[in-house]
Formats: sequence, C-alpha cells, structure tokens
Amino acid sequence: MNVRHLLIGLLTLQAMVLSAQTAIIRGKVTDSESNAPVIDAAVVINGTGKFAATANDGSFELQKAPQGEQRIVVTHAGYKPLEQTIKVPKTGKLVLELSLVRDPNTDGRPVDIPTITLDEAEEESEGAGEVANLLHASRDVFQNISAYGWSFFRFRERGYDSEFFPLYLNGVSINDPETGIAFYSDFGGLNDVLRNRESSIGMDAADFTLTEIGGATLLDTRASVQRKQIRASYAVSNRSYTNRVMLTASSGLMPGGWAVSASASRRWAQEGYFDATFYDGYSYFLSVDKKFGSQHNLNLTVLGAPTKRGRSGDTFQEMFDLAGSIRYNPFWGYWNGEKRNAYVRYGNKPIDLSRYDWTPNNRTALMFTSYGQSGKRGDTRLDWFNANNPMPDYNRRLPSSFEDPTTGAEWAQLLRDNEDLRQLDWAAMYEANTINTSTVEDANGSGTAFTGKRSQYVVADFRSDSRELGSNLTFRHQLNSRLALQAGGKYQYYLGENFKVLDDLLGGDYILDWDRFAQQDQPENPLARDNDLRIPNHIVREGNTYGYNYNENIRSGGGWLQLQGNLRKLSGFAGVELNTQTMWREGKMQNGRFPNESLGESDKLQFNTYGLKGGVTWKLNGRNYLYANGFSGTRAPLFQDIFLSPRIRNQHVDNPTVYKIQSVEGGYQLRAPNMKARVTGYFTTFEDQIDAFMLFQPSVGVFGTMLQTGINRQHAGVEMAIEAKPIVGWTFSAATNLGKYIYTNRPSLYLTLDNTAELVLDGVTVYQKNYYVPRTPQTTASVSAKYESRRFWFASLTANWADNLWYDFDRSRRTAGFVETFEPGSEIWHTVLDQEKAPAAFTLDFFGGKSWRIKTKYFLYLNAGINNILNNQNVIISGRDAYRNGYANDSTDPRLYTSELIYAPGLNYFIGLTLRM
Amino acid sequence: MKYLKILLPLALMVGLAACVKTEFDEPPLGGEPINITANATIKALKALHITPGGYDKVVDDMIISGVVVMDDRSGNYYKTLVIQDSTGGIEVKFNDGYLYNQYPVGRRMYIKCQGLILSDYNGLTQLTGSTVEQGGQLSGVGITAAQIRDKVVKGPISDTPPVPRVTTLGAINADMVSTLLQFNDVEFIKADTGKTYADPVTKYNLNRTIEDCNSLQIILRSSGYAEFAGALTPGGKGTITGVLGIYNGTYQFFIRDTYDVQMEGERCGAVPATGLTSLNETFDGTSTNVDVDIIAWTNIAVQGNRIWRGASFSGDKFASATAYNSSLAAMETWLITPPIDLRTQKSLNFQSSSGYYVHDGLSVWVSTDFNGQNPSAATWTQLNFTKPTPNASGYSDFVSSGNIALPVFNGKGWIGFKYSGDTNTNTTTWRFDDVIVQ
Repeated sequence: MNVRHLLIGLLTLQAMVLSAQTAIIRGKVTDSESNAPVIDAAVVINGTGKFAATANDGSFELQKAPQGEQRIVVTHAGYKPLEQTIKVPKTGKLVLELSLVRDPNTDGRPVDIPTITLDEAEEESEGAGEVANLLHASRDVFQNISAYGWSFFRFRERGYDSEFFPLYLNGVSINDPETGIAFYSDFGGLNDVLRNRESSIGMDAADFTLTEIGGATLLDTRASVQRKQIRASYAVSNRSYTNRVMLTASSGLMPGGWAVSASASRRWAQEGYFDATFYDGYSYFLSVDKKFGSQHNLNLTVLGAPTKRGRSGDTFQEMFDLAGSIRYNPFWGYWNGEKRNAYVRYGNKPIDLSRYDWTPNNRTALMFTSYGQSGKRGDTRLDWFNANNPMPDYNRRLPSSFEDPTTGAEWAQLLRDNEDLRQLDWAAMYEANTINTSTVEDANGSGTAFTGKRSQYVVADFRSDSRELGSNLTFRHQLNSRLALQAGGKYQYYLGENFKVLDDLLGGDYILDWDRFAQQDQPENPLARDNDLRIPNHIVREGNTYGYNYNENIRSGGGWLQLQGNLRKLSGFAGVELNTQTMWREGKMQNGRFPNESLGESDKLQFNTYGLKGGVTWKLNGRNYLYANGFSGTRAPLFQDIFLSPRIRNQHVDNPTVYKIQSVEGGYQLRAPNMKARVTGYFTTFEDQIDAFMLFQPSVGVFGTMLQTGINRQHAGVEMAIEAKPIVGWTFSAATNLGKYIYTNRPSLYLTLDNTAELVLDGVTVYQKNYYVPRTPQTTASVSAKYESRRFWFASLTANWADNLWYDFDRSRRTAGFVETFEPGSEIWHTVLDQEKAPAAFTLDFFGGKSWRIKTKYFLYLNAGINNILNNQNVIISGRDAYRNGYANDSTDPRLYTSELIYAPGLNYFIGLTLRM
Repeated sequence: MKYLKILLPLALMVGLAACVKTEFDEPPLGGEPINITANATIKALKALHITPGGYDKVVDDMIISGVVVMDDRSGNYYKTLVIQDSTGGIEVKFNDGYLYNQYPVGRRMYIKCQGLILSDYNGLTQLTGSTVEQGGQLSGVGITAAQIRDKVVKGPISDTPPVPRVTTLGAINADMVSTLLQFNDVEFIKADTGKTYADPVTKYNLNRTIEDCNSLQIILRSSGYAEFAGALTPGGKGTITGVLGIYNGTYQFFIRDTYDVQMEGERCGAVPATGLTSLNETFDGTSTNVDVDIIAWTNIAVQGNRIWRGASFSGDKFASATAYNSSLAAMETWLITPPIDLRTQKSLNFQSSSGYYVHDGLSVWVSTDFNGQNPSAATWTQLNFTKPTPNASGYSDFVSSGNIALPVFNGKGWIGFKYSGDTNTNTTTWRFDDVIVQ
C-alpha cells in the first residue's frame, strides 16, 4: 500500500484573503483508500461549538471560525477519528482536504448486511426496484431504513419500476435494455468487491448520469479502490441458499502502479426456504489496474456469476391452505423419490469492462469505459401438447372450482392428505410420453415418414440470450470554486436472442413443431400448424429450437450535460440529456399462421427523448437544509411493450411514442451530530405509457400478450426518517413512507394470442382510473433500536410495518364488455371489479455482530441476522388476479375469481463468519 | 498467512464438494405391481342399469376389468373410453380429457364400480362418476380425478392392439354394443364416398352409411372435433374396425381413426381393369317390367326407345325385349356384359327363349373395342348359338345356347345381346337368362 495513502493527511492548498471579517473553513473529507467522499462525517472545531457535517460530495463549510491555532476533529463511524491542528487566518478562506483512514476494529457497519443480501433479494425480484434501493443504500437516513427493513416487503421507493433505479458499473448502465431490469444475478455473490459505490437519492444530482427520478447507483470495480485485504467468509442461511463461501483478495495499489483484486464465491442449497428451490451459484471477479503516472489509470475487469436455481411460483391461497404451508410451491414433483423442480432459472452472462481514467489535474476527471456482455439466460418450464394441464394448481383442479360442493370437498380432502396430488406427477408425464408412439408423414419436409414416441409433456427452456457492447464517457470538471460541470456520452449495441429450446423429452423421442390449435381453428389451412414453414413437420429433439425464435435489436446513444453551482447559502444544479434509441425485431422463423409477418426484420422504431433536471438546496446553516428538485422529460417505451406478439410476429403498436415524466420533490434535511432527519414530499406523473406483458392462457394453453397504451399514472407521497443518538452506543431510528400511487385515466387495451391474427381485444377502454399501482407496499414504517458496544459488538432490533400492497389486476375484467351482464353493485360486480390488497404486514428483525482481533493482523467477524423473528406467515409480497379465469370459465361465477399470491418467508436467518487479514 | 493456507483450501473443498443435484435420470416405467382382480363381468355390470334414461348407483363392491378399445386420441370420442372384456363392453365417462395419455387403446383397466353411476345415452349404457342436479334435472358427471385415484387402477398395456371380433352387418346384436368389431367386404354407399367424415369447420357430427355387397347398411358416425373430421371417405371396399354404438334402437358405428378404415379394394360388383375372368348373371336382381340395370352392364337402345327389361316366369327372373306394341318402325337394343378378360380361352353359355314367334330377333355378338357407351361405334363379331324352338302362340321353353368358344384376344371383350324388331311384322319377344362365362 502506498505510504501516501496511509497518511492521515492535511494539506493546505491555499489561503485566500476575502473581503470578510471572519474566516471561512471549507473542505472535503475523503476515504484514504478509495478517495471516495465521506458523507456525514462530523467536523468539529474543538472548544468552539463550531461544527459541520459533510455533504454528499464530502464537502463541508465552517463559518466564523476563531482566528489562530485550532484543533479540528473529524469523526465518522468506521473510521479512525482524525485530529489535526490548523491555523485559521483572521479573515479569508481556509481550504482543507482531509483523508480518513478506516478503523479495522469496528469497520462501522456490519461486515455483511445480514439477512438481506444482494443474492437473496435478486432471486425474488429479478432486480425490481427494491434491490436497487438496497444497492444504493447510502448513508441517507431514509434509505438506510427502507433498504434493510422494507426490502422484505418488496418495497420500491416511490413505487417506481426498476428501470428508474439504474445501476452503472464503471459508468455503463447494466440495466437490460429489453426489460429495463438490472439482473443482479449477473454478479451475485460478489458482495466483497462491489462495495465501492456512489448513489444519488431521488432526483438529487449525481455526477455520473443525469435523468433518473429514482436514484442511480454507480459501482466502481477498480482494483485500486478495493481495500487491501484477504478475506474469506462462510455463511449459512435458510433463504435462497443454505451455504455460501466467498474468497476475496485485493492487493491495493502496489509499486509500479499495479493493483489486482480477485474474488470468487459459491452459493448453494439443495432446498431453500420454499419447497424444492435448489440453488447452485458460482461467481468470479478479477480486476487489474495499472496506473501510469499520477494522471492515468487503466482497468480491466471481468466478472460473472453462472447460477442455476429452482424457482417457486405464485399460486392460489387455496393451494397454500391445502398444503398447510406458505412454503408450498407448485413447480415440483417427486421423481424417484426426490424432489424435482421443472422450473429452473439459470444464467451466465459474464461482463468485461475496460476503463480508462484520466485526471490531468485535481479539477478534471475523465472516465471512459467500454464493455461487453454476452451469454445465456434460460427459464425452464413445462410445455405440453395434446394433454391436460399438468400443473397441480391449474385452476380447474381447484376444489373451489368444482360445480358440486360435495365433490369439491372430497377432492380438497384428498389434496390435503396426499402431497403427491399437490405436486407435479412426473411419472404420469413420462408414461404419457412413452406410450404415445406416433408416425409423422413427410417428417421435416423430407417426404419420408418418421415413427417414434411423441412426447406430450416436455421441459422447455425459454432462452433470452444476449450480446451487448457499449461505451461510456464521463467528464467532470471543476470550473471554479463555485461551479462544476459534468458531462457524458454513451453508445450501446444490444442484440437479444429469444427462443425456445427443447430441454427434456421426458422419455419420448421427439415432438413436432406444430401449433396444436391450428388444425382445430384453421382446418382448411394445413400450413398454419407449422411454427416454422421452412421445416414442415419439424421433428424436434432435445437441444433443438422450436416454437419461436427472434432477435431484439436495440441501438441507443446519447449525451448529457450538467452544471452544479455552490454558493454559501445556496447550491443548485441543472442538466439536460438527449438520447436516441432504435429498436426492431428480427424473426428467425416463418410461422405458418403468419408467413409474411414473422420472418425477417420488422419496422425500425426510433425514439428520441430528452430530459431536463434541476434543483436547489438552501442551506439554512450547517445543520438544516431545504431543497427542491424537478425533472421533466420523455422516455422510450421498452422493447417488450411495443410488439403485439413478439415471439411470433413483427406487428407492433401503431405509432408507438415516447412517454412523458414530470416529477418534483422537495423537503427538509437535518444533519446534526447526534440527530439526522429527512422529510421529502414527491409528486410524479407518467403520461402515455405503454405496458405489455406476456400471459399464459392455460385454458387454451397459449401464450398471449396483454398490452395497454396511453396509461397515465401518478405517484405522490411523503418520506420521513429520523435517526438519533441520545446516549452513547445507542441509535434510535424511525422512518415511514406514505405513498399514493394510482392510475389516473382509462387506457386502451389490446389482447393478442400468439396463435391468432385477430386481436382478442382491440383498443378496448379499461376503466382503471384511481386503481392503485400494484406490486409495492405504498405505506411502510419502521422503528429501530441499535446498541453498539465499545467491546466490538452490536445488536439491533427493528420493527417493520407495511400496508397497501395492491394486487396487480386483470385489465380485461375492468372493461364494459366484461361486466355488461352484471348488475352494478352486486356481489359478482364487486368480485370482478374491486382491486384486492394484501393484509398489513409486520416483521421484527434482529441484526447482530461481533468482531475479534487476533494477533493484531487478523480479524474475525461474526454476523447474524434473524428476519421475521415472529415467524409471521401472512406476509404477502405479490398478488395478481388470475388472468386465466375470465376466459376459461363462466365469467358470472364468483367462485372463479381468486388471486395468485407469493408469500415472504417466515422466520429466516443468515449467519456469517468472516476472516480478514 | 498461516490462516490463509489452511482456510483457502478448506473453503475450496467445502465449496466444491457441496454438490447440488439438479439432473435427473429416467428409471424404467412400470409403476406399482397390480394387486387387484375383477370380481364381476362388464355384462353383469351393465345388467344393473335397470332404469332407462335414469341413474342407477352401483351398490355392490363390483370390480370390472377391461381393455381399452376406444380412446379419445383422435378426438372422435371426448372424455370417454370404451373398455371391454370377454362378455361385453361399456362406455366409461370421465371428467377430464386427453384420457389416452393414461389409458390408451390396449391398456387394461380395473374399475371399482361401487358408488359409480350407470346411466344411458339414448339406450347406450354408460358408467359415469356421479350425478348433479341442475334445474331439477339430474345429469351425469364423469369420473373425476379424485375418483380415479380411488377407483381406477391401471393395468399393463398390451404390445399388440386389441383384436376386433370379425362379424357381418347381418349378425349384429345387442351384446356387441360397446365392443370392438370388424366388418369385412363393406364400403361407403356411393353417395357417401369422397365426403368428409364430419364437418371440421362447423364441428358438426355427421353420419355416413356403410354397406356390404348385399346392401345391408349401418351408420358410421363421426365427431366434428375428430382430427380426421376433414378427411375424405374412401370409394373402395374393404374392412372397417370400430366400436358399435346404439342410439334409440339404431346401431351406429364409430372408428378410432382413419386407420380403422381400410377400403382400397374394388367396390361390390366392380369390374377389374383387365376384365372379368368369369361371369354368372342370373338377373335375379331385376324386377318385372323394369329396365334392366345391373352394375357394369350396358343396356342401351340404338333404334327406338325400348331397352331390355326384367321379366319373370314361375319365380325365375330374366331379361326380355320385344317390339310388340312398340309403335316403333325399327327397334334395336343391346344388353352388353361387363368387359371379360379374353386373354385366356373363355366359353359362353346362356339360356334363351322366344314368344309369339314371328322372327329371329336375338343375336349375340362379341366385340373387343366397345367403348362402354355406343354399340354402333364398336366392331362386333356374331356368335352362333342354339336357339329355342319357335312357338307362334306362346312362349318357348328356355334352351341352352351350348358352349360357345369366345375368341382369344390380348385384352378384354364384351358380349352383346342384340334384339332387332319392329312394331309391324317383327314382333317376337326374346328372353335370355343365366349368362355364364368361364
């Protein structure tokens, strides 16, 4: 480690005489290893009552400092206190640069944030916003609580979708351009080396990107900013995985300007919290830095996390009741006496980054990063043909759907008594396949016949592979002491490859790549049944692609510019961003139903967007701040939202347009040494959004797309948090989010099925005004008490409460056509229309940790977290109307309307032991 | 670094040794050994259905065993199987479809019938799961998944398909209902050939008629949802296999799929392309005073409008022609046999008779270039035959023509029976019968 960086440094750069009578001390506090700003550090002039807390950029300001020699003390949890003598001039300005060294004994925070780690959160959410919250959990008092206490409830800040919480690795966005989701599984298990991060809160200015209303996070993977250490840890848990091993070694900056950091981990479980959810994940990370002189740094980073895990699915309350457990999972069945999960998610999309940093002087920094990411991701699930729906929770198998209540009760009893009836019947699927010997005439269009066992049930692998290349340039320049400029530019090439692969024939020899309904509904058109006309009567075996195959092409580029000004009482920023995005579909199969619309390229759809953002902060004094920020701009719709049936054909929404976002926030912030508080109000509108999602119609066994255009919604609320340290060692905190996220108009609904040209619903008005935006609790609160002992242990107890988690609702039910036969106000009317919500949820969490120093050089950390200590079994974290019912059954029967739910785990724990040297 | 040296290998070992099992192999299938025997026949079970149109619950602990002879693979049957044992067969109704994935044709099934329901659909006995009352009316509910677990046991699947009982349309009886039958030498009636089995567009069921060469008929009924609904019925004669049904006393027949219909042979009475190798026409199919119309024979007037007609005497039927009372200045009509294979030596024999003799009006000819339509366009060679003794005041006895050697020819030929006469002077009635070529 470079000696200079070990120094507790104080450097007086200049002392400038100003025309004031009293001196002002300004400065910046940074981490000695990473040079990252240290936020919320307390800067005190001993014996004067003068103090300040550092801002997000590490800066502070002390006014009216007494002249002469003074002792200045800088403290921050996790760092050794810094005490230094300074000489304050009579008038003018003293500028300090202060560098804090980490205290290896306490390390401030727990070594690992227990219980809710990245790895676990990623599983449930596919990277929805709450994980982003977790990642950019900064020292902000509100986010500290919301990230750790409310992730369990799938809280998303301000109710935004995950695309508004972008994640940047060395400056490049790694949110999947297809879906907007950041797939945290791509780098799960690398907690040790992804600790260096910068975040923006809400619409506050970030200096690595501009237009984000939710807050952005930048992870810095450079080896030179990784703390020098060797670290090995082992953890046990009962959530996604049961065991985790992590090894990390970082050299710090070595002579010759080199720095190396490497990390590897393995996480595994034969069964996680939910039934049959196995976990098998590896991850690796290598980062190499070379510094050239003091101005240039080159970094190469490679990271990846091949992971495979058994999924659990949402299902009906009735099934949870029959199983008597919230661990119930319909995705598996016994096979040879072992639990076999048919729904396996796996992925391996390694990322390479090469980053160049140029700091020609201490006022200018330039970062240029090129990256590539490619690999595969797959989701297996059952596919079936001329056979009954094999899912044990298929709605027609539910006892409540039986016409005769007596028969239903008998069936319910059988389901209660026999676990195998509540799970997949693998043996029946294998048997159906092996006894179904069939002959195909003109197999593969060859003119000859083929005879073999034609599978009725198979495991299909729904792949979404991708190849991505991009570059990003970020430039920061301090124009003068009051004005800083940041700018950036980016280009991204993205190719998503989406197709279905036959993973397992389950005892059969082949399947035919036919649409099983074409013969029924187009008997006069024998070509319609071929999913790929170019290979008629395609004999599909394991490993072959079938069903659909298309590429998503997305090219995007843009640039942004931001100015930040900082006056004594007032600071502010303003920025502008311009982006352009082009996307198109390229079909790789010629579908028999859509021979002219399926193969080849679709229209190229271009979207130009802008963003304007600005904000002001009024610094009442060193403790009290008032601020207001605003954003106005447009965004391109997501690829997945603009194609009517992207798996099959090129047809897209007519003239898709960008949507508009307007957002304002304003609030008050208190930063006192023993108390921090924040109150923020926010109001955001989204206008003219498009939203599409795939749905499965089990009644007909077909995938379809439900697409809405012209959606307006409004997210308003208040965030409040307070943290106080009234007694030494004790920290008390409380936070709440009171949100109201609603739809504000009546959009148009389109429903397409993959196998029919007609729109099942064509621009039907959805009456969803004032319905709630689903999938996040809109009201949350926490109180927490934490004790930190001087003897190197801590313990905390947090009570969390969440309410107003509304279920996602079936848009097709909220249409005039659907309810026309019902009497307004009747039971069925309410059953069909009323939006459901989860019951209010409550958890009590314990975190604790202790560290030991062994032979001065080694440190041992023990961390334990027990989440949901009360083992509450009623925490619903996702609910949705079962879309199937409206089409499968008698729409006038209230029995058929039941929602599919996901429960959060009951009591769960995480215990980790780490050795560091 | 001491700790590191211990810890790293240890951690690696732990990490690598922990194997998560995610791949599964495929054990042999076969399932549980079957520990069940039947204690009742299907015939005995069906006999318990005593309320036509009603629902009779099976009270006794009856276990039947049968082999699936009809499943729902093609969609011709829906949520229904037919199983049979040596005593008979029965339709079994289920609550779910795609039964053939579990109970394909050839699988032995054991059904514990106690508590199940016997009913009938317009006279066709069915075993079903339960009843439900809707609007005061009982209706049957097929055997549910819950009942299957309780009451249905899968037996082995035969390597060879069930063998149908071969019978004839004339031999059908009530015991054969819901059993697998095969009829040989049957065909779709002419009007039903080249038609779809059912209507795949409207999904309507359709009836087609099958008959044998003796014109005995049965209805073939097919579902509009059957995969083969849009296939075309064959025009030939052959075998048909399927399950016998009954609807209000009328037998119906159902096939599993088009493989049950093998009708590529010549239709009843059809003539091979090379001609008949033999012929024996007794005219028993004709009717008195009705124009002779025999499959593959040509009956045509060259002059006038009279042609050969059927006639009879003492129960014996034959062909007859006369110009008497015809008002025709000239009458010439031909009755021409189907083509006859002349590549080998053939001989002709027939019986003839004349009545109210005034002229020699019957002549017999052979041609090798008759086009099947116009006798005048063909080249005819006259054949000599022994003629009956003329009788001016009545009909002569039939006499044999004697064996007439036909010419040998590398092809086929036609024998034409030509009557010539007029209304004024040549009014003799000529008859002939029992045309034998061999």
